[in-house]
Amino acid sequence: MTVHERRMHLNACALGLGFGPVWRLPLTQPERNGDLDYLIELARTAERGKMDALFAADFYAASDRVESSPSPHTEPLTLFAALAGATERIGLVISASTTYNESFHLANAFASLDHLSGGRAGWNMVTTAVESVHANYSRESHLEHDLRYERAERVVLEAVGMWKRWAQPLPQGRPVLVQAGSSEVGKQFASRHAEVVFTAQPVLDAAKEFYRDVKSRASALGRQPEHVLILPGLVPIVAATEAETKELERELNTFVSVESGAKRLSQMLETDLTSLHPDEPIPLEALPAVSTSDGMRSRVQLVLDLIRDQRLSVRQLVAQGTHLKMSGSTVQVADRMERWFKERAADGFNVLFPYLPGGMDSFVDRLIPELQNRGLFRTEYDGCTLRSHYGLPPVGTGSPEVTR
Amino acid sequence: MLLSLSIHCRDSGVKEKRWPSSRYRLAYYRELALAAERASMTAVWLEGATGRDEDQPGGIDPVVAAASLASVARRIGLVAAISLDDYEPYHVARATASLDNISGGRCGWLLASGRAGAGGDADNHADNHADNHADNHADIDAMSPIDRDRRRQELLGVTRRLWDSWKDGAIRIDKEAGIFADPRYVQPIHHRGKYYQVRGPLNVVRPVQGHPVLARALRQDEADLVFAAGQADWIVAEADCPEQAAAQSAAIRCAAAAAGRDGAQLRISHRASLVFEGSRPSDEEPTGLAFRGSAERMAEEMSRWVKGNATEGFHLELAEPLADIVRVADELVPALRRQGWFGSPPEKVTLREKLGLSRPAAVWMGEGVQ
Ligand SMILES: Cc1cc2nc3c(=O)[nH]c(=O)nc-3n(C[C@H](O)[C@H](O)[C@H](O)COP(=O)(O)O)c2cc1C
Repeated sequence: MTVHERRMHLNACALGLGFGPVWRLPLTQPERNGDLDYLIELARTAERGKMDALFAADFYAASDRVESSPSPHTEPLTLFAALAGATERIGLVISASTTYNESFHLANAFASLDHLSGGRAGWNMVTTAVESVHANYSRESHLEHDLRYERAERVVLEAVGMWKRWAQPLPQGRPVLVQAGSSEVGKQFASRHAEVVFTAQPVLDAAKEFYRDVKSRASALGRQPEHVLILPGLVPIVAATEAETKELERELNTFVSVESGAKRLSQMLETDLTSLHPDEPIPLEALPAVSTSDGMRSRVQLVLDLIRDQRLSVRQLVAQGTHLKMSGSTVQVADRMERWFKERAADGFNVLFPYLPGGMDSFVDRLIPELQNRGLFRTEYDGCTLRSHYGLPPVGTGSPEVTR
Repeated sequence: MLLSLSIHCRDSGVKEKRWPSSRYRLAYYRELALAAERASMTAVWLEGATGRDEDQPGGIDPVVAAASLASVARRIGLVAAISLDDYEPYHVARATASLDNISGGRCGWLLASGRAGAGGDADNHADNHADNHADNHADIDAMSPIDRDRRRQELLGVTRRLWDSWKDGAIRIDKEAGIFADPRYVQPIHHRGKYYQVRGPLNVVRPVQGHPVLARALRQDEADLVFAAGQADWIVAEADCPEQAAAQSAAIRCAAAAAGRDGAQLRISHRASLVFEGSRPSDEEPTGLAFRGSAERMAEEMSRWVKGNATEGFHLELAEPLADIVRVADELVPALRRQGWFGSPPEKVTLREKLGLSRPAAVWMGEGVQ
């Protein structure tokens, strides 16, 4: 494949929900989060932008901050089934836990979505890092990190086996398999099964290393590296001009509180950041060298590396978040996206809109045409299935099945 | 009392092991639901392939099918089958609350039972690393009917409490004060039962209807009648004649009263097949009640049932669903309207409203805020 034929892949994330306190701004419409017409509008905007897929995360427990952050009116499977009826081409990727679902239910649910959407389903095979979920699902405790992946291995192989055996052929052969954990076992799992990998990579060099690492693991297993797409999360902040973008960014930070951000990060890192000076670099001795967290291990490690790498203060860390952020004029952001893409830090991005619906509108109306003009992004869908948007081979050809 | 009409979309034919391919496409469900909506029907009931066979697909998951219709047919009730024996209550409560919210309060839950051929996962218990992480697979088939019933009752109780874990009025969306929801109105449920342990609260806000409508297709046994009368909002029964139906409705209402329920909050319909004059003879003769002949005749016959208070509606099983539903819309419903037994339901009402059922308020645990 020549370089200019390589095209970016772009997913639209976080339907209906924004970031932290952003919902308080006049430019958001949190009262419409449960309104199907609003959700359809968002989906159609992403489809108008010829984006590869919509993506919805799922965490199986209520937020412990229901007071200050929006709670969902929907869960992803039913919402995306409804959106399947209101869209034509765009892919529908949903997180579903291998720890808290059985293989038969997962296989049947994703097969159903794949059938009714005409081949647009994707399954983000998450293992569920949130400890408290066990108490909602009649389990005595949360399964330990590496055992979650052991279970995931079994559940995924069983589901894939069922899709293969079932008499009614699936429009895509099988739904696209996505993975989003970046720990050591997570990467091993991804290299065996994932066709798309979501990851949080705010630092270019680390992202390139991750990209190279996952692709070479897949190659070592006899898979084609281009059949494993790496899509880091991206928070784009774009307005017409650089000055307007600065203004927008300032507005988006209006209600961001350093105190509550520091508290949240302290819990995540299991290290007290709240007593530190908010504007001085975080002292490195205060931090553990490597993460042994049972939760989102790779995410914790990433934050640790980020602090070390960029000598961040608490305030900077809170504002940064864990995903890559690009802000600037349309051209500036497109330049950076192009750089990440061409330097092989990414095959595209999982786009997390900083506010909705406007954040999606400006991405689709400004950035996508710019990327299209540069020949980096499709101007029309070539096919009808998600597999085709991602340039993945039909199941049963190309990439050899990985079995154990 | 006006008649309600509903339609059943089930596992096509007991004899056929495989569904026809058309049943895997959204177009099929869309056509059916839109015609049913045009006929001003109350709801479409969606039933997947019953039972589980790991070598056969479960057909289309009824929840996924119902949800895909939410954006396509914007008025009709959407009743999806979910087994009482197969899922954790947190899963069921989330799926139904979500379906109710995206459909503007049109969700019903068809209380199905059974998890046939649970073999695959049960076998895997042995090599599951930590026993307490096994899926909650009570061996339903090996359970005594009493234990099975207890487990179902527990599931329903927990599911209702999860729907209620977000009280009405919890959502404030006060941008000025930064309050999205009042945390005092969002309560964990701390359920620790014999079969399920659930902390809550739900991660989906309270359903539009408070509780989605619980529907049950009655089997012909006393235990099932007691179960349905105690739990369901909408029961579909079977009878051959109005007299039998009236006696049966009375028995159901009596059992409901014995369970302490308000009779006004229970709807009873009867299952019926339609054999339209001039329609292609079907391979399978309908079993049970069938209305035959011209639409006019069917309507007359149906009104005889309603006049005698034998039933409140008919739940239709159609041999050729896509062809027959058009005749229901174009012929039967106008005939029923002429008889005065069928109204035009107002636009955009919830399934509870269509059925004349009230919206349950959330039950507070401990002392509430009020
Ligand atoms: C873009 C993205 C989306 C994710 N979505 C979910 C999700 O919906 N549900 C979930 O439980 N975890 C989600 N995760 C978390 C991961 O699946 C994984 O559980 C976590 O990173 C811990 O695994 P690890 O230790 O292998 O990194 C997501 C991660 C990323 C990067």
